[in-house]
Amino acid sequence: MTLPSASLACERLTFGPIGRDPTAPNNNNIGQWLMAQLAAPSTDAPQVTQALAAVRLEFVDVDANGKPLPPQMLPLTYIGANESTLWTAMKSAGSDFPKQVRPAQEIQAASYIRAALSPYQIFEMMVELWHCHFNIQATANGTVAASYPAFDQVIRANALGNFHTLLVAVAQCAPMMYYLNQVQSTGAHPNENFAREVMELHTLGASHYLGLTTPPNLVGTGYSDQDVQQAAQILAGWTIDQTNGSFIFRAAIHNNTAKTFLGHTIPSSGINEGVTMLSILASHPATASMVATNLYRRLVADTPPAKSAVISAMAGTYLQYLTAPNQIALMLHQLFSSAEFAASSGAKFKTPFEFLMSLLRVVNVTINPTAALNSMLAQMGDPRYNWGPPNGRPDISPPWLGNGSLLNRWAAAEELLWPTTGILVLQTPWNGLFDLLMHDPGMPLNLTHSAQAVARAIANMLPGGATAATTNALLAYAASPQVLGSSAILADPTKLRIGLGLLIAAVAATPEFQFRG
Amino acid sequence: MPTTRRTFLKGAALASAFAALPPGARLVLAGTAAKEPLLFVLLRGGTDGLNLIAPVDDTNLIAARPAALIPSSGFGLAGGLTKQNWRLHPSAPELNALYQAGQLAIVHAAGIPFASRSHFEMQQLAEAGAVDLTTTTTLGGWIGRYAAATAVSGTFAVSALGVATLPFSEGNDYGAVDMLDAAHFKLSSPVKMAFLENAYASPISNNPIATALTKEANDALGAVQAFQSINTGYVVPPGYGTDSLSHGLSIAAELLKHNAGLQLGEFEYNNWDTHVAQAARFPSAVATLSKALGAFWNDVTAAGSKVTLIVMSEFGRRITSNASGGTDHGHGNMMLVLSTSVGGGRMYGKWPGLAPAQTDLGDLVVTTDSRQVLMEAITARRGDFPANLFPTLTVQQPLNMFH
Repeated sequence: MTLPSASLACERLTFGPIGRDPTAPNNNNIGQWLMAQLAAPSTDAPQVTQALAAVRLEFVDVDANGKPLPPQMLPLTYIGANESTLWTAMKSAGSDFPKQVRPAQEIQAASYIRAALSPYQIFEMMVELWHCHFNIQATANGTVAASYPAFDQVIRANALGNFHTLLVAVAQCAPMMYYLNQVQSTGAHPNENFAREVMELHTLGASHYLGLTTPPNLVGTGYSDQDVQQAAQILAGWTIDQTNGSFIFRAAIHNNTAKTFLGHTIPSSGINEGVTMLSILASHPATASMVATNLYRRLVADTPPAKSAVISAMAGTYLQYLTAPNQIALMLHQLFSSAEFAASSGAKFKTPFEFLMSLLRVVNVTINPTAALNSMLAQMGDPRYNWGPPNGRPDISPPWLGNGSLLNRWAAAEELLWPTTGILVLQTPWNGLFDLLMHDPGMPLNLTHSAQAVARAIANMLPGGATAATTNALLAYAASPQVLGSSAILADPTKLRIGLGLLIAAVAATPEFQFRG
Repeated sequence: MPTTRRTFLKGAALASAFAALPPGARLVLAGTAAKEPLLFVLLRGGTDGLNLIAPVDDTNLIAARPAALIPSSGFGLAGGLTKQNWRLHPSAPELNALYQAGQLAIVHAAGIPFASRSHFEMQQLAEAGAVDLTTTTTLGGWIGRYAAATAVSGTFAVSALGVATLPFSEGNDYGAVDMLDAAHFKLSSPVKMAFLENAYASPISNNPIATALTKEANDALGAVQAFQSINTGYVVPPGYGTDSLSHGLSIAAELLKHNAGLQLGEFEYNNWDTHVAQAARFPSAVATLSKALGAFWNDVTAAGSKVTLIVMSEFGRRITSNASGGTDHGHGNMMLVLSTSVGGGRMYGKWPGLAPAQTDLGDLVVTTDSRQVLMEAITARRGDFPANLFPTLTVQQPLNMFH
């Protein structure tokens, strides 16, 4: 067993380090830190609950003619609401789209708070991973948006738990039912959307797609279009109770015939056919391998090697602990204790969401999660919980390296730090990173030259240090009269706030800041 | 202040020099006159080509789906693939006008000859220009591969416009510009530009991602400088919609009108995965596509630009509709070819028929490899088709679409 360095864990297994963070792991306690992280509760920690309760998210309703009404600042009331509460709210919203979409917007806003503030960072990273794995476009339509918190709750309840349990819960939640059209499927007229994607994206993976028909020598190894059609028959009748939004099986629209699926004969047994099918998928070695590979790709490197010892080991653990309530945590422990993880420094480039979260975390002041964050991410090509196709956003770096995405990344940092954007709420006297830039540790306030601020910004934002070129670029930038390059700026709190914000945004734009350890 | 970029590219410099010319003024750049810009529009999600363009009196089609998913009330199209009553969806008046004017040709029953009904596999193949999934990673995207093979160069030579991230078709090794919208393609100040030039002067490590980041960052800085000289004061002509395809095509027109060196463009419109309620969703998607292509065509042709634009989707949809008033994933599909040099106003390809026995397990058979259309366009309009650009492509019967 190889424990990772604390610095790698801190950058790779969190949404980003925070300067002078007393709770960060060190090389003496990294083992305990990992164990505590992997045993995280699925409920929000007190500081997260408190921050979520303080959020007031803008809501702009429309009148009967569709004209916008004056904005209201409302608390997040749907993020923990159960299915039937969400369903009742959706019905009472009628055709009022802003009301329908509000629950999804609350989950978007809450995700920023949770990712930035949770002490259980590995848990939050897994929430992010499963949201992508079981991608649902949150605002695909009014029904998906109105019921979207039910999906988020399913993900959060099982993020470090058991994959089979998670798979079934996702399959039965209203937002997935509506997003992939399972709710409309019947035995007489099947809709194959969910039946296909549950195999291609959620379990076996496209590499186990065999084409239109299954060759006789490959029965059971993967799925063909015959299996897709059989799966649609098996799942016909899996739908949503229109009175309360909960899962229901309707025998009347199910064909009571035996089915053949992945080489198994599934006798006619109503709802149990689907239960059996998901069990076959969840216990398939291809699913074990796909889950292990996805964990590796998210947490170690973009391109898993063809023969990775730790992927094989994780897939073995997956199958060995098929029904364990901490199956996923066990796989993760294996991954974090691997030589491959320990040697992966520099291998992961921040996604736009990870970039924004790492900046929010390192600035470390109160966060007001406005919809401007959603816009920034959409510009970078990573729309928050709103990736359209069901494959989820790519977990590799090339899409985020495009010049348009990079320009928007650099611009987002500036916008985030700009005083009137209103996402970062500073106290007086300044707290968080702004306080750390104003003086050296334990010393009184002292900022008399832009170079001091640069040195402190590097020390707090770039734990791996900066190259000489980066340092010199920052020094030149900070010394310019538009940033921190005059005593008049340093003496004027308004101008200083702008200048320090520009400096922080510039450090966030350095090559060093773009990597997760 | 070092605002001039070290690796300021030749194309960008030329573009800056021409930026002062009035719209419509054209200069022929030496060596590029014969190579017409080629634009590729990918309709992600699987467009129902039979709802867009079909023989509406086909009894098999009528039996397979509700009337709302057959374009019977649409525009009559001469030059169909059979003697049947071929029609174009009524929400596409701009496409009808271009077809009637002979600038739009339609290929039907085209597609990727690979037996998959997966969006992601088929998009990967469409973008790789391949028919074997095991080769796509090695091959990369076909646009990037073609650009490299024919030494296409210049800041805007390879661009993905109206899309937020680089598509696989253009890869990440060819300096492609990706621009979601014109307004955001900028930096906040010259000092920030200078800072980024200094910070990204060389990679921070030998790590391949760090190397790629440096290259892409420098491409971004060069493209921003070049684009600002074009875009300052530019007014998008009326007629474009507010969708991403319209955004992308309006930027393409802007680059073409300024002779900024756009050679190969990628565009997307992703609103086609109509498993449900297709009759309600499809017409507006068609209208958006048609309006965007019409606005673009008017914009560039009024300025005298010559360009070839090819539209395809990763697959068509099943002939028979499902219970939800939608259609599931299918196979063969239409392709659109817009060009001042195409033999338009007619259809190309071979119609396989829609009777159950004529289908590919219920789906429209692919009789024309979509890559053949791309190959003919490259050969005719750029004159430099690299051998084996599209692996295993064999042409049984040339379409001879271009004159």
